[in-house]
Amino acid sequence: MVNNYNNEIQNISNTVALGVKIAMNEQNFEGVQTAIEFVKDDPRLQFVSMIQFDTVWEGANHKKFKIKKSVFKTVPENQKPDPEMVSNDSIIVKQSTYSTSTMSGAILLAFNTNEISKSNAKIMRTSLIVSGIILLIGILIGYLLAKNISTPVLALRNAAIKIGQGDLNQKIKKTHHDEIGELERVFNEMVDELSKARNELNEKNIVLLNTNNTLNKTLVELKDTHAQLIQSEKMASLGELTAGIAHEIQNPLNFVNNFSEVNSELIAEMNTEIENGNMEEVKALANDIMQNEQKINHHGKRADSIVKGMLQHSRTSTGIKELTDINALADEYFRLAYHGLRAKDKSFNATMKTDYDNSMEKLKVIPQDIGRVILNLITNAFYAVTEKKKHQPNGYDPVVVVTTKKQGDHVMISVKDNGEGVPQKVLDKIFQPFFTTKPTGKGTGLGLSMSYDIVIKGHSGDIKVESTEGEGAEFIITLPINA
Amino acid sequence: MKILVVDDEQDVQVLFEQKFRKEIKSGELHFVFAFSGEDALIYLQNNEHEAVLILSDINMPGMSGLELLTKIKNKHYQPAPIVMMITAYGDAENYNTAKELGADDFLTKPVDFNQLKEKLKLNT
Repeated sequence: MVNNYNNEIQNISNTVALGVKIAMNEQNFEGVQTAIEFVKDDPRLQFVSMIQFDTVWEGANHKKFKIKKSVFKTVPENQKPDPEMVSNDSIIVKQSTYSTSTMSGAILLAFNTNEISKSNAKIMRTSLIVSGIILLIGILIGYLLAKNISTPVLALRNAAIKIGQGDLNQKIKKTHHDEIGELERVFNEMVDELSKARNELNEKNIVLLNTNNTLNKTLVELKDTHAQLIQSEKMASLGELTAGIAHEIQNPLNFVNNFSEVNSELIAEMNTEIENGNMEEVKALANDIMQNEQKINHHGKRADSIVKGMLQHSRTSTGIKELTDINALADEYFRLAYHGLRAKDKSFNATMKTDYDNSMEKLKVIPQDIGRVILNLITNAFYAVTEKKKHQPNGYDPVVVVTTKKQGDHVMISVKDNGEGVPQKVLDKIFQPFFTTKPTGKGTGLGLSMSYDIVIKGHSGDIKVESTEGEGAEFIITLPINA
Repeated sequence: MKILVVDDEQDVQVLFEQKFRKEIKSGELHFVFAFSGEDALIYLQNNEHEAVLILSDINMPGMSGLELLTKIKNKHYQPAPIVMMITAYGDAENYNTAKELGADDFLTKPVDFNQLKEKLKLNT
């Protein structure tokens, strides 16, 4: 706009300059006046001046000159413009030069910018009005939108939040018959479905809860049964030992009885000798009685320790690890198992071999538990050699070897037999609960699985089996020394 | 009469020596002891004709009393010693086995020494 204005003023200025030039050439001074006054009535006019250029020589030899500008005429006459004047904020000044034979100069045309400001203001006004109308239309549309979409959507949102919090009694009042109305209908249906689904879920939860309670009860019963089974297994293995234990107790008891009988006889004899005054003989008899008393005491203790061992075996494991002499533990159960089998099966005989590592220190184990493992392995070994002897009565010497050895940071206990061996196909099953190859009633199938649990879970040790079918089996337990 | 007692329980020696105190003193009976079947056989090997009567336990580690009995009977010592078996298990099966193998008598533990004395007197 400003550019247009500038161009317009420049054009007017050029026109005036041309008119002045033509009038001057014709020596028509009225024409000059007319040309200048051409713009006189333009309301935008600030002033129009005719500027005269004069060449003024400088110095004597006319080598330099300068142009001197002076105002020749100005319309309106009250204005006194500076010939060098240029445009500023309120005035646009344009200059058009002219040149005639008599005079050269320029037309200086100044227009005020009021007009342009006025048109700017007009544009501003117009745009304000247009903006206002658009704003009003916007508000109206917003209001309609709010009424038709936002309000029901907000209602849906609030209902959805409440549903999210678990209140399924939310119903949306149907307000529309368009898509919003459809949305409201579908929403209500969804809430109904949700409510139904939740009720069903609650019912199922109750059923589940009941099932869970039943399961818990069953689990408790199972645990009881398991505990009873373990106890049965212990008692069964104790049964294996009964004959051995009876034999082991019978021997010391016989000595206790015999020596006490002997002592009665010796005391009677001593009384006779006292009456006879044979004091030498009395002294000898007293020494014998004393010696026999020691024997009675010794054998009494022997029987006592066997009974204690038996009780310890049948007692529930204390679960407390104690420093235990593994060699003594293995030997005790080895003897009991051997005598037990010998007592039950008179025809049976097996060579018992032991190879104990005497450098072994006491080991921290639960003695009842490890004792049971050793007993279990030994009775299994005796069972294996007995079975083989039945099938092969001649030329077969049953041998069971118990070995202990310290190996670095752990202790190895091995029970090896030259019996039938473990068939390859059951080798990976033998540690499973209730797995047994013995005839019904002969084995619970719990011995090895319990041994496995005791060694692996109870003592962080390891139990493995090496077997060649028909040639024998070796069960090897390893127990860490610092467990 | 020389009697060989075979038992793995060593206190048997003390017991017999005291029970037969008078008989030993009077020289009526003479006892020797072996603590295993193997030891008994070695003794018999070295002292043939000496032991007239053998009293053996059945239940011993290693060679059992019944095995010892079989071996003694197979050796045909002259004169054939009298073998009496002693066991803690006085059941029929043991008794029959011992008899079949040629045992002359069968005693159960705890030994009734009066009965044993009677039997020994019969054999002298």
